[in-house]
Amino acid sequence: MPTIPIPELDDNSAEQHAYFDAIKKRMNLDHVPLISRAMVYKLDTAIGHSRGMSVLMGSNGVLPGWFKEMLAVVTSAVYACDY
Amino acid sequence: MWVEAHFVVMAVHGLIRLADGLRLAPEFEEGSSRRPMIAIPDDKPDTTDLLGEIAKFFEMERAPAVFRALGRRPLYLKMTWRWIRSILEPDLLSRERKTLIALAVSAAAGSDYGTDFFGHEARRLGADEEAIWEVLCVVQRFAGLTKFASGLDLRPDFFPEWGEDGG
Repeated sequence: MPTIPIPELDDNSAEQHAYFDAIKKRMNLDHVPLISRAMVYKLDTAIGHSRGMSVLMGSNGVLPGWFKEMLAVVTSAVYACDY
Repeated sequence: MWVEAHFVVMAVHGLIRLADGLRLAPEFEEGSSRRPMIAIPDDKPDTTDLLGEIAKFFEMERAPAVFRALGRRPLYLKMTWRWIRSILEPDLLSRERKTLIALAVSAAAGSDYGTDFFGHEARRLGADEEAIWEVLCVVQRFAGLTKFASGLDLRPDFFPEWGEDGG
């Protein structure tokens, strides 16, 4: 169980909507994962993180996106992170 | 492809932990005063050919110290090298990509020996500065993200249809 309550989508926040929509689009998901929802406690920080991830993990570099995702999984394995 | 990648993780994580445990100096760092935990044996008659094969595989004058250290037990060196070689040789993933994975593992594990060795190997196999930068930045991002997720005790939810047991 998470150590903090994980926020649901705030219908009154256009900024949060835009952030969640960007996450779903970037990750090709139909839901917003817990880790992205947990970050909205500090929405500006969450958005900054998400933008950095888009630049790094997108297909605009020299390594293909799928391979960078593989490196992400490898890194997570080294840290024994189930998430 | 995923199994290949994780065999690289398995082989490299073990190898660099051995190198770091033995306190081996990075292969390509000059002037290190670090003393290994145990003496690294010279080539013995029963390891000369194999260490030569290893040196050739990595295009080095001598086999890397971590393999020379394994030469204390020639049969163990032989079995270990055959296994590691089979993992590092190209298959669905190219040798360069496998080496970039090895570099990511080394950086994530904080291994000077591994980062030095596989960074050098990646360049030798054709990776440029941009590729190495991207690998290390992916490690940077996910080294942090994994701690964020673990610290908040988040459970995987990327595939909710799989359920909590993952399957």
